[in-house]
Amino acid sequence: MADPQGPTETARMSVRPLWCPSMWLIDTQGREPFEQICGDCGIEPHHMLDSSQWVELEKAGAFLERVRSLADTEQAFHEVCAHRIREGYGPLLHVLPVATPRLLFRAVARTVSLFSNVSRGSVLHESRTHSVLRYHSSMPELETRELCLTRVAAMTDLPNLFGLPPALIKENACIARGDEYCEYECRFYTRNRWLPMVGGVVVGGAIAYGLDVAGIDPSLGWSSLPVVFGLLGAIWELRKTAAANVDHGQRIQAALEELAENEGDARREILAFHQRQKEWGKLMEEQVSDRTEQLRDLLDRLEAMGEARVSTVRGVSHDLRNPVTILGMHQALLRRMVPDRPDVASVLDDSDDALATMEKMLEELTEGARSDRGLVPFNPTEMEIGPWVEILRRRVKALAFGKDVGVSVFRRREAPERIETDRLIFERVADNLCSNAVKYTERGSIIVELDGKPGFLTLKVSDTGVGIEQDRIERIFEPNGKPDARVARSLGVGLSVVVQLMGQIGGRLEVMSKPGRGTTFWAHFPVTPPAREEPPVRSSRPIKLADVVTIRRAQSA
Amino acid sequence: MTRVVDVFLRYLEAEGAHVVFGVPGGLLHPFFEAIEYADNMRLVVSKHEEGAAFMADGYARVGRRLAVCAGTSGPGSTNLLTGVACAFADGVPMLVVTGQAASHSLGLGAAQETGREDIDIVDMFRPVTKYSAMVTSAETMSRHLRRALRLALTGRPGPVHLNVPVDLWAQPLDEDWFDPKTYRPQTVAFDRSAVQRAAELLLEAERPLFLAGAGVAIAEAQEHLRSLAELFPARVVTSPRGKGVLAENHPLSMGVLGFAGHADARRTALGPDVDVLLTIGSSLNETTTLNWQTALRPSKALIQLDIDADRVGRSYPVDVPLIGDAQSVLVELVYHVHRLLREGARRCSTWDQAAPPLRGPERYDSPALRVSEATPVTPQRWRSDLEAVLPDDAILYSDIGGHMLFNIHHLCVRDRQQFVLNLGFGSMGHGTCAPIGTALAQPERAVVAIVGDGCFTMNGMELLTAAEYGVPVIWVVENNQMHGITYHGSAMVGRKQPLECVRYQRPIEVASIARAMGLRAWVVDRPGQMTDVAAEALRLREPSVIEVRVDASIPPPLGDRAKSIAGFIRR
Repeated sequence: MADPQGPTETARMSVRPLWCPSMWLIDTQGREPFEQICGDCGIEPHHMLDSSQWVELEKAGAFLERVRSLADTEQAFHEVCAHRIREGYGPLLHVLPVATPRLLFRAVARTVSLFSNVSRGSVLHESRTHSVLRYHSSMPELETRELCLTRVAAMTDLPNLFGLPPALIKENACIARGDEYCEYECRFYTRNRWLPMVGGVVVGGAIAYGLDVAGIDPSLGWSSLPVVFGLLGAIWELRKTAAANVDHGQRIQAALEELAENEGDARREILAFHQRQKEWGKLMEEQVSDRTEQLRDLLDRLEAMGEARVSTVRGVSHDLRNPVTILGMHQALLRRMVPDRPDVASVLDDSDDALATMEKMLEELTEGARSDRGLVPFNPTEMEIGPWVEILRRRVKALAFGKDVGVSVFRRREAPERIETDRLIFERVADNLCSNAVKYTERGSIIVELDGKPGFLTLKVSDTGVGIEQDRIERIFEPNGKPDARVARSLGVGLSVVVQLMGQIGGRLEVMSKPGRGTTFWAHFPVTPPAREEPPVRSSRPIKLADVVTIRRAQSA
Repeated sequence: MTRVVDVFLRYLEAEGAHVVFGVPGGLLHPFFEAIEYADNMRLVVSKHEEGAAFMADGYARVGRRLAVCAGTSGPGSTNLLTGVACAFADGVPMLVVTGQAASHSLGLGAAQETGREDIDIVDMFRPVTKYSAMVTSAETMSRHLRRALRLALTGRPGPVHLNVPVDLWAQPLDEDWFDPKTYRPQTVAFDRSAVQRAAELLLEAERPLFLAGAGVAIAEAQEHLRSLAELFPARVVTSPRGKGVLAENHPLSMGVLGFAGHADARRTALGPDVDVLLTIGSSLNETTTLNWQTALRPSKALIQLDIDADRVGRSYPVDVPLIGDAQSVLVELVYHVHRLLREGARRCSTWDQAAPPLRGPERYDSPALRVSEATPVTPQRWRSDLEAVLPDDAILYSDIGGHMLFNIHHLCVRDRQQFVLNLGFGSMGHGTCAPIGTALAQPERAVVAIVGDGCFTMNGMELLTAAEYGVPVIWVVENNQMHGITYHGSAMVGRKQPLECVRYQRPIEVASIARAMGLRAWVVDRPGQMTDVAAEALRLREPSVIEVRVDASIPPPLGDRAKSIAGFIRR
């Protein structure tokens, strides 16, 4: 955008006054002739419609001359310059009608210099009803009659106080006609406006005179009839003002309605956006929950595979014992069948040794497979409970996503702030209990609570799920190996592992359940790890259920 | 042979109080001497007894245990008073020990004597403590102590004061009753039927709103508040002092209601939509309720939860009163809501369908100043710079003054961060000294104190204590070279002219003073600079000061307070 105040040599003007002729061209002649004319005058067509642009005064004059040639008469050109002029004012349109004419014309005089870098306006004389504006140009040789006419059109069609009829403009002088300046006398009120009132008074008087002549009570007629008719005249005249006012009110009303509609749209859009955001969140949670489910399945499968491996190894080693025993018996038989062959005896001795080694290996294999189950290396580290509750909350909420289940996860004041334990084991137990709770609860609620008693951190998980029959509770802790131990819907291999893990870290597990009402697990983790007597991985003593698990009797409610 | 002082220290040990704050002196010498030689007690010597009381306050507020402060007889004990009053106003458990002339010389005019006959220190402490007494013989020490500890730590916690004549400490005393559980009951009882009624009302509410106060932090019920709010869901506003008890980046948080609060919170809490309002640990005082606005009353029911029955129904008619410890009652509420859900109750909250609470820049009154590139930096801009680098579990302190209003309005206390402000008594200097006690109680968390230049000049000498003991508090001193709240506030009341007398006659250089005291110090005056400086300070973990030279012409958000003050003056 050019700087109107800048040290420029060329006379330039804003394209604003050219907007009306441009629109007229486009509306009546079409876009192509408009672009043609712009091109001929050396103006970029799109500059013309962008009110922030400026053009050289010379080019503007040339452009207006071309338009004038299309419109032929001065009157027609005046209309061209006022074509759709109100649209150009924007919101100002609603403000202008409350300004007094005097203020308005003063503003016109002031803003003249904002539209061109060579012109200057001043108010020569003003009264309540009329103003005399003078327009000077520092480059009068560039002023054309058309430019002057655009100004006249702009002033004539300026919306003014209460929408009264446009001002009358009398041109006293014009640069284009050889004067030093342009001078416009703008009269706001026309004297004609008094005519209906005066006419009314005259008519009233005439009627009163008529009545007087006719001999009907003269006092009433003379005193009131001229006044009444005069008022009627005034009302007749004011009707126009009222109509203009109503029109203005309607336009403001329409603008407000449009605004309200836009605001409504924006609000709806914001709400829709919010909705979308929520849906995205939901989708994310859904995916996280899916993933968690998949991972859990994977873990279950891995655990099941581990179990299968162990039982396979145990089975195979057991099965291998039979042939080994048979081989041993065959050796003994051979010894008896060929008693006096020292060479054979030494072969048989070697073979005996090999068999003994084989038996020992099988035994170790069986033993190893037995002690292998569920045990992992135990590496206690200090962990803070505060941040971990946040993680647990997120996990449980993700797991329960999409179910009609209320979830609350919190820590009691009594819970220790930190415990020393194996984080992996701790999380595996917590995950197991929580995911079981979610798995068997379709609707209702799950409360996960961290509490404490001296020396222990207690993780309490209660759900309102399917529950377990009192006499079957023990079986949920057994590994999957025995199919008859399963409850109606398996609790998976998880709980047997939980028992192993809790036994390993010196913790305890409590359970209480009632079919149809729900299940509560308490896992008590020691705050400091138990003293290690022996490496637990090779521990020969299997962890017994009763050492770890307490089954609480559910109170009948 | 065990002496009185040995028994005393054993009680402190049983309560888990391992730090004593104070300034040693003649008439309390045996006590301080015993601490010096005790294996598991630590004495932190402050520069002024007021600082010691503030530090003990900070230690108890976040340390989940009793704090102890001590001052010798005479001025040593009166200096403690303001700090103790702060703890009393905010319900902080604290044992205050003061010295006294020897029992046989009482009334004879011993040096610094504060006996019953003259300047009675026991009486002076009475209005600001839950218990204030002079121990008159060795045999009664345990009795006094057990009673003091019981009162300090049960119900609404608070400070207690024991005044001990100097000759008593060394006298022999036989005692075998030390287990706190046996003399100090748990006060977690509550009215079950009221809790049930509250749970039903909340489930039936369409627009339930929680107003959480600082009591939530005292009861450590932040998680429980969150769990309960998420169940319905209910939206949560906090009092200025309770700021951050629900993380302000939580989707249900609407920010602060009241003094320097957020427009969104005000619109919602005072608007017509809220049908059930649950207040938790908020005394509903002037600063929270915006001068006791009647519009705060919900259309259906007001449920007020407080540990102090005296606070319930003080300013508003209460439909369901819940008297008890916030954590216990909230847990019980969670249970009952779960039970009702299990029995088939439906959640009626329609918050899900409403437009979400304003977040980010939209929440604040002047968002443009938060991103302003002007130099000197705006108070809003450097706070937004600081927020970006604070750890998720930082403890933030605010002192009292203009900076406090900016802290309340323009800091987002998120995740597990904690915000501490002593607005109950509103003493300058608390936010400057108490962080030292906090950092000693929670050494693994970052402690950042945002204070004003006025607070720094009042109690800043305690920074020397932090330097001596290597306590890694970061003080951010907002320096506008005047008492900003008074200056800008005075322009809104009376003659509507700012009080020129509260501007400093000559500028102070906070960073230079801090460096002279042996702290690390930086000056920040440009936008964006705070991010790097604070990150560096947090990395170093040393006692340090960041002086922020701000644009003093920006008034703090004190519109509502000024209106109340103007109203008081007119009355």
